Amino acid sequence: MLPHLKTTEDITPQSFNTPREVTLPMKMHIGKAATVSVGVGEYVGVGDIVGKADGIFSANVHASVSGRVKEILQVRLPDGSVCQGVEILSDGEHRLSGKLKVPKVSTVREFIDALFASGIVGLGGAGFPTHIKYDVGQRKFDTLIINSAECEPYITSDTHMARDCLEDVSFAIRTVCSLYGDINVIIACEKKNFMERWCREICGHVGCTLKVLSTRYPQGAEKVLIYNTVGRTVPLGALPIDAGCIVSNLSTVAEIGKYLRTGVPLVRKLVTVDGDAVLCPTVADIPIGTSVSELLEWCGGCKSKAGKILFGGPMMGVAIENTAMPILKNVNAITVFSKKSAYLPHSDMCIRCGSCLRNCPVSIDSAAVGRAVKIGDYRTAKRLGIEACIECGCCSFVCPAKISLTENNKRIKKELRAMNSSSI
Amino acid sequence: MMQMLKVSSSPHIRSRTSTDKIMMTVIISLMPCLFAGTYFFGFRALAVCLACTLGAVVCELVLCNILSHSGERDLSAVVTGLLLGLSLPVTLPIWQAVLGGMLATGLFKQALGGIGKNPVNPAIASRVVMLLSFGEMASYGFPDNIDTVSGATPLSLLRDGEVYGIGKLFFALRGGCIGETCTLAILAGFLILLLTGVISPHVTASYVGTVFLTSLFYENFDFYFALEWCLAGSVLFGAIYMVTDYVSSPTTRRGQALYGALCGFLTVVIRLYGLYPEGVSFAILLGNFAVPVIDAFVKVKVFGVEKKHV
Repeated sequence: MLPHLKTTEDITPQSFNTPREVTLPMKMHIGKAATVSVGVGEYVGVGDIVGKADGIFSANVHASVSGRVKEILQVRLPDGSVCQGVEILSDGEHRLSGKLKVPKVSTVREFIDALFASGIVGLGGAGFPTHIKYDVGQRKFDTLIINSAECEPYITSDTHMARDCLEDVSFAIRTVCSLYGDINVIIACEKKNFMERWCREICGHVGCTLKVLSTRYPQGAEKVLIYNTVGRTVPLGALPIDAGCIVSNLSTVAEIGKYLRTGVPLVRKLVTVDGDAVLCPTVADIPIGTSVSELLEWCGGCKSKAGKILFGGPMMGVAIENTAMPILKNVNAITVFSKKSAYLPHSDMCIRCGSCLRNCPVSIDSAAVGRAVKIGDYRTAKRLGIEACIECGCCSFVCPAKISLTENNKRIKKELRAMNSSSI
Repeated sequence: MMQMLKVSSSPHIRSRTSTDKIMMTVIISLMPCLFAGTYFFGFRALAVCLACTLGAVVCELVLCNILSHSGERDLSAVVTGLLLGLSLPVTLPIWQAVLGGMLATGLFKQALGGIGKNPVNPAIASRVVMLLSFGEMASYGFPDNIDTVSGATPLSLLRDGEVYGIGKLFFALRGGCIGETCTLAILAGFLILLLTGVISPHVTASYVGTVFLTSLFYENFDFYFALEWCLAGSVLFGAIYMVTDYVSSPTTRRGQALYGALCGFLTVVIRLYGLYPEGVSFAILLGNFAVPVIDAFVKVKVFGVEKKHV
């Protein structure tokens, strides 16, 4: 149904080491923004903390290049919000900070502290602080699912991480197993050439279970993946840990391993650069905070003028408003669309075909939700389960009348949240 | 280097299907019936169908503009016109066919809010109105001699307990409406719709299945008679083209199966006990009114949402 377009599946990633400057926003995760901890003019090495996590529900931000802090400025994020950011003028030398050291991890507490220090967040897209995920407390944790589904079109960064970071992933898996005791580690991937092969290799290396799922979007959506892998249902409003699971993206696990082995925090990211306007699709290993324009320039630019640029893939990616935007921790692809592909078809009237319902991974009748909300009936919308919507985009994609059902759903969810909080 | 970029909410791609393409597929799937009808009944059959389609399309275009409804170019009026035309007798005066087409898209579609908003199937509703208004509607032509104005159709024979012959029913050697007589052509259209994924077999199967089972009971478990009940009249045409209409049928698969069964049961009951022998049209029209109720009761369980929470 959904085109794969994984053109960069089998190419060699290139390292991009020469951004003139990087901008590091203090909020590249879910939770509170970090607080700037450096001053203008200060020299920082790669891995030095430039933003300290503000409380537990937050994440550290580290310098991704070495150089002097040029400016502390307001940065606009893809979702339209604004936060503080640190702009570092690169000296081009990529000198590692002298303060980095390999963390000593022998208890769960130390592991959580190490994750907290590393600034690692969920790299699959959500950016959920990883140290919170692994801080299971008294809750039952028996299954670690490594999400390698990578089900969106174009995106291949996880595939490359699976191939190139075998040691890191294995080290992280072994550490988690030794700390949390008797847990079941499952690598879940789609039935695909390369990803399946690399995952099989990791499984053979470290001795964990491989679960090959059908290649069907949105296989990588957390709740879908848990259900298809271990058959457990995560109820609405609950977290995977409530079903005894932790789901981590493969890249996240690789970064955890890398930090535990080398002490280098999350400062670089593999990013797939693809889309119909890109001249030569690439996978780039870049310092976090590189601007989109610099990356695109380095990649060889665009065939035609870009009409739309996405952080992420075409199904769930966020359209950015300009190319000055820095690339964040949780960005795994830059998808560039030509002017022609940037425009979506006009929508017609709903013909009640039921495609949206049949293609919804959580069985929401989006058309009926839309009809109910049109006349102000939010109770029916709630009864139809709109709050369980995972915003995967399938309904909009399949709709023959080209109605933006996913967009409607997101708006309705937001309105319901606002109503719930105001009624309390 | 600032440039204007388009910003919109995800997803940023759409599938290739569209309303027009679905309607076009339905039109193509109706071609075997139209061919068969023209072949067996002569060119007058084609004239009736085209007149009906013309009436439907013109009325749709005019009303879409007056009422500023969207979707005047989505070919759905052609589908409605053809469906109605194919379910008319070949002997019908042309002006009545035009009027019927206008009635279908004008009154039963645009006046009710345009595409997607009509609670009843426009072709069926218009056919019922025509049936009650024009005496010519009940005089079915025969393929071999279109001058034969009246005669026993398979249905009236069946009601009297006579055998008509499945072979005759299968190859259009019987009286009836333009599109409904050639079972082979209808099945060809069914195949097209199934293969292109425009319809799923749920409604069709439950409709025909229920007609079969209900008549099986009535005929004291005589399979041959029950099969004739299914092939006679417009059961197959209705099962494939009428009850499968997206707008006037339930959304869920289970709801569709229920709706098909309801229509099937009503068809047999009306055929046996009704004043008119028009089981299929009346049954589907009645079934249409049950759709909101079916949709309200048959719900799909949302993943991860407990019933008691809502």
